[in-house]
Amino acid sequence: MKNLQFEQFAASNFHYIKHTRNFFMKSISDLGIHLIEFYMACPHFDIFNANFAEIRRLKKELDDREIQVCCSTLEQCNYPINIASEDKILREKSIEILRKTIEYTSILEAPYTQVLGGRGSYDLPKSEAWKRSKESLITLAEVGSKNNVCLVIEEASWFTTNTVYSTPLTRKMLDEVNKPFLKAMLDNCATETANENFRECMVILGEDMKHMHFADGKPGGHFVPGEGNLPLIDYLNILDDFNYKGAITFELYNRKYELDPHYYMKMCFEYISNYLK
Amino acid sequence: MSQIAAMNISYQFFSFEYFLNSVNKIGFKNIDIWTGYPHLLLDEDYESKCSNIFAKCKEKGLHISNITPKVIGWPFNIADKNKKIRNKAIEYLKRGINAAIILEAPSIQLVSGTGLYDESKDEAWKRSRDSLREIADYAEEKGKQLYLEPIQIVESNLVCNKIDLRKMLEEVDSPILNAVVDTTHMEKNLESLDEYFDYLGKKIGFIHLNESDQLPWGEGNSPINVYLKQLNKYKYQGSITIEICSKMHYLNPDYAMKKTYNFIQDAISRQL
Repeated sequence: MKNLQFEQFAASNFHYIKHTRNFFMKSISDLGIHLIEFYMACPHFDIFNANFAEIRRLKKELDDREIQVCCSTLEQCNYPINIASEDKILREKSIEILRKTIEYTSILEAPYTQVLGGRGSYDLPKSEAWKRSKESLITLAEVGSKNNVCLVIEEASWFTTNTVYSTPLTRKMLDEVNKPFLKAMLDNCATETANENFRECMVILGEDMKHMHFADGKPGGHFVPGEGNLPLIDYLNILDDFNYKGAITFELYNRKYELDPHYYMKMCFEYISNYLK
Repeated sequence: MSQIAAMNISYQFFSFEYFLNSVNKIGFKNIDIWTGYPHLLLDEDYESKCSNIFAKCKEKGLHISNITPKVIGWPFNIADKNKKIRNKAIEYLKRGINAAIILEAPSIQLVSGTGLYDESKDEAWKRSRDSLREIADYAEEKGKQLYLEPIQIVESNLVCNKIDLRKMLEEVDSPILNAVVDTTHMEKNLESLDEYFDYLGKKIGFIHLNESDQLPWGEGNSPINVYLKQLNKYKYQGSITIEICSKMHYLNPDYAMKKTYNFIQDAISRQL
């Protein structure tokens, strides 16, 4: 390992949502971790009702524990948030909640916020969904620019979206939106689900690749290292070869870990400590 | 088959019109409307959306047997410690009851919500119970039935099995709050329909007759014949809803629902 550092690896609260925010914070401190990706979802943060006082309170809790946020991630899979929706009201609401997320992310002093392409109904024209997604992203990238928060778009799987579900489509969206505050991220479970070669993904995105979700899978699933069958070491070696400087988040976006979240987060960091030895 | 309804949850990647055309063509007479995106969100404009949906169902001769407000995965938790969230959840479910009036659906399905696993379960239980009372009082006034469903431990730490369910129904103590049993969750808990009927008797007014892992029927390993025998034994007359909650099948929901319909029809004909 020539370039990757332990400090690039981030914890996250995706699988802590059956526990209080305080439980998560304490767990991260107990692990001695100072970098997290913050998953904006209830009950840890109710973005729909939240006000400035609440986001400032969260910032203070993080500061007290000397925790930095590398990226915020609004729940966009389960919540009715879809920037490509054919339902105009829902699309506008989705843009509004992402606008609020971007503003709050700037208060957290996090450089990035994650965004998905959304989807249109599968019996309607896919090209229209793409256009709506692109228009929404142009609007949001401008909000990002005003708040100095960069959006990073993540490909979702082909069976959950019909807009951005591969790295070439991510590239296409970046090029069409063509705004400095829209960049990209990779999730190795997603690249495998799309049957992609990780090294090629890195080449396609080049300098625009800014953030990383890391987990084991079959190929999806977002498991702890060892529970899936993905070549985790290969991804790390590739990131190292490309001299990747961004954050690498352990994302255990899977209900199976919710009953004992600390144990599984610890397992991830033990894995990476051993690897970097 | 006249008791059986198809739910739109497995059609969530398709338009509502597509769902109606599909189940109508397959042969269903009843539907159970799950209020998820993109079919029917219980937002500001839900009343006009409901009227529109009702007209379309009427045109096709489809009866709406139940409303299933989407809550799992959404920030609508009736047991939440945060009062704002709890109140929002209660208001949302009341809109579900109002939707049932417009859609002429006799009932609404509910779940208990959840507490957090590092906090007192008793307190969360009380919050859930109080919320359920408020919702039940409202439904009773509006002439609707409610059915509470036990779910899995990864979804809630409150009502997850027959024992929790009876305890909650007794504590809420409303004549219109009864039980719905989902065969998938029941199997995960190593429980049986016989046990539910023995333990809850007439309180059971609704069944989710689902294949293991909520797959299309015939793709898992649940004993349909055993279930049908048990329902016959108890002379079950209530509604039955079929849910397919398997993401891979969301891409071809018509195929999955048709397969399920044929499988159940065949199993019923062999019972006679």
